Amino acid sequence: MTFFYRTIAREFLNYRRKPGLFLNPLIFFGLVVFLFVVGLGPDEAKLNQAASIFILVASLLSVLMSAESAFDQDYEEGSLELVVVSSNSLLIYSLAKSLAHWVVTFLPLILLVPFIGIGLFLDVEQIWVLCLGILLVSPTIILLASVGAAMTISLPRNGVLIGLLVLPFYVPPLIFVTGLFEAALLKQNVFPYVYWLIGLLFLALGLAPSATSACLRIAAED
Amino acid sequence: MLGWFHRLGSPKTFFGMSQSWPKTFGLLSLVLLALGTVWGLLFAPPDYQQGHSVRIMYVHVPAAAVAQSCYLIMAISSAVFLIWNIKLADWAAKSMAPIGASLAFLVLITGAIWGKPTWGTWWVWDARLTSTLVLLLLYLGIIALRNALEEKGNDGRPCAVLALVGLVNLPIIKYSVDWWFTLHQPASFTLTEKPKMPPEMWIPLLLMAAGYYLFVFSVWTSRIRNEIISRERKTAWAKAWAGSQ
Repeated sequence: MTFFYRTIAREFLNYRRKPGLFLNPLIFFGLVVFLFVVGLGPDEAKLNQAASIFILVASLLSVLMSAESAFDQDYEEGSLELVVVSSNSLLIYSLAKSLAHWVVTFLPLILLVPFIGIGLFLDVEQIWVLCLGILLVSPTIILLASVGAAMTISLPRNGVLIGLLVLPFYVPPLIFVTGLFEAALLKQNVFPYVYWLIGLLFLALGLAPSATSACLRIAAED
Repeated sequence: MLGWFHRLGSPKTFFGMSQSWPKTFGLLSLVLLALGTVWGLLFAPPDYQQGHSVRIMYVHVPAAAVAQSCYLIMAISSAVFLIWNIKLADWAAKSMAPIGASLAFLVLITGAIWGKPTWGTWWVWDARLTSTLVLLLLYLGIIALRNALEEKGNDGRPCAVLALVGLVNLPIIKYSVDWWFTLHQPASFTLTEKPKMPPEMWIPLLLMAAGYYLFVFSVWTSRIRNEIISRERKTAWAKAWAGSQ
């Protein structure tokens, strides 16, 4: 278990030394939301209807942006190889990486969402549902992105490729979370969607780290 | 049993064994496709609702089934490669990806052509159309990853992992999209039930499906053979084979 904590601590140290790694995606997220608003126009009803979705999509895009550099440094400086040859589990390593990635991308985002929501005329209940949706869907998104990042780790300029590989897998979580938003808006039962999202989360939690560590091992061995 | 498996996994043995496969299966598929096309397009009865536009089914439905089977075959090859480290399985998966992608593309195109007169639009955001589009995107992702890896001189192991992750995800994508919205009619053909169409409609459809499978098999084996000979061109047996041609 200590290896898990050490990896997370090292990640946070890394993020503190290079704040751009998590600040740039956040700024990118803000810009995408802003461009959506400009494109839709200031009409209150229109914004209210579309806001939840484009905030969510903007957050997905910003994750792809930060995933690109998730394993880069460890791969280039050789610490990934050290983990592979050590007795420590790569599975734990990739889980710790994903958790740290989630904390720096989604925690600030969830804190930001209420303010953005107020700016886009969402009412309090919609903001709660939006935060719940992001909270439920974001770990799945991060875990899938880590698989994409691990697959393309040895390739230069892998950003676009990660998008192409990972976005098809974002379809089910996106469908269920939009279903959740709609059900909440129409005052219907939201629990089927919540259960589905939790189910997807556990599926990703069970399978994605092993796919990630398999790819990391391949990259370190090559 | 395992010895047979290992012999099949050797590129040289496979190459010798599969010498006649592309031609044989190609000819068989040509016969079946010709028979199915002529029967389906000229002699099968028109649909009582859709009229003659139903005939595109003879191209569309088998392509849809085969495009999905191609993914399954590719994923099985990838798993064989990852588990037993048989290089031939990797090349087989590599050879399958473009075939599956083109079939998925064919499904979308023929579906659009059929949709215009029948539904009145080229495209709807319906469950099956969307999941076929996702299938096409998956194929494109696998092909792009493969190209990028080979440019760097790496082998296809990350690609094999991606194919397997996709295999787990395909049913989830399918069911989630089904939940999302459905306009498309249910499957035309299932293995378990008696078909609802008359035999003069489903027999040509079955011929076409068999023809498609044989066609894919013929193209697939010839692509694998190309891959083998281009990778093994420096070996003695490959040179000897090239000399004998």
